[in-house]
Amino acid sequence: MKFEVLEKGDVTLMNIGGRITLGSGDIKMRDKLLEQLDKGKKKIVLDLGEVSFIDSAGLGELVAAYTSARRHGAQVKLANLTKKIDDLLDITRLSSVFETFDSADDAVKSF
Amino acid sequence: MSGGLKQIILQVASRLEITDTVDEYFRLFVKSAGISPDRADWIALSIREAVNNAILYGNKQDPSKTVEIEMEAGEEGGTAMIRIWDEGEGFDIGNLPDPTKEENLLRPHGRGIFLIRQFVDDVRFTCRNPKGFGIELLIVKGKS
Repeated sequence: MKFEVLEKGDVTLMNIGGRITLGSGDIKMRDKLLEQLDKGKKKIVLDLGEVSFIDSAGLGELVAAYTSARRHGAQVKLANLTKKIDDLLDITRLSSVFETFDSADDAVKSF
Repeated sequence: MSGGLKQIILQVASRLEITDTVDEYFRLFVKSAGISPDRADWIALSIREAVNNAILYGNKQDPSKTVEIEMEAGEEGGTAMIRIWDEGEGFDIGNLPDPTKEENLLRPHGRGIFLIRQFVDDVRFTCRNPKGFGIELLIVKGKS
């Protein structure tokens, strides 16, 4: 799993690559996000453009990211979803939870 | 029918990393099972969910317990079947919360069986003696 954290003004952009699946990437993503929340970051974009595969545990981690951010008074938005992840969000109705954007730039500008 | 494996039986230890190996075998099975490449990804996800459930909840990650995976291509124009057995006692299928209901949307767990049901044509749950719980994923061949 690949992580890259960039600062775009007051927005934290996390580029995530690889798989977010049970036992492979799910816990790592949680830790990386909590690091940012603990630093007081309030505006976070998860760029999922290079995520090759996600399972129900990975979806659970996105939900956990959303709820953790809310508890910290922060907001998480998703960008650059692959067709398959977009479909999974629709099927599970998580598309009604997350704000999603076609590009990371659009997501950053939306705050 | 051309190419691919018509039947695969795997017995694996209850370790989460084994799901990658199961996926590799499934890819060998896809052609003979008449599963289109696009649909194969969704069925691979369903198998991963079922195997993870078997390891986590059925066998409680006890590596001395095995998970058995059987893939059977069936006749052309018919159905393919994938069965996943664990050594557990199963669970109450009727008692699974709907993860798409408003009150469940923010739960981090509980989407595995729901996803399986979205991507295969039928799902059956069964017990066997002396012990063991199985989930059968039925796939109508040739559907895209």
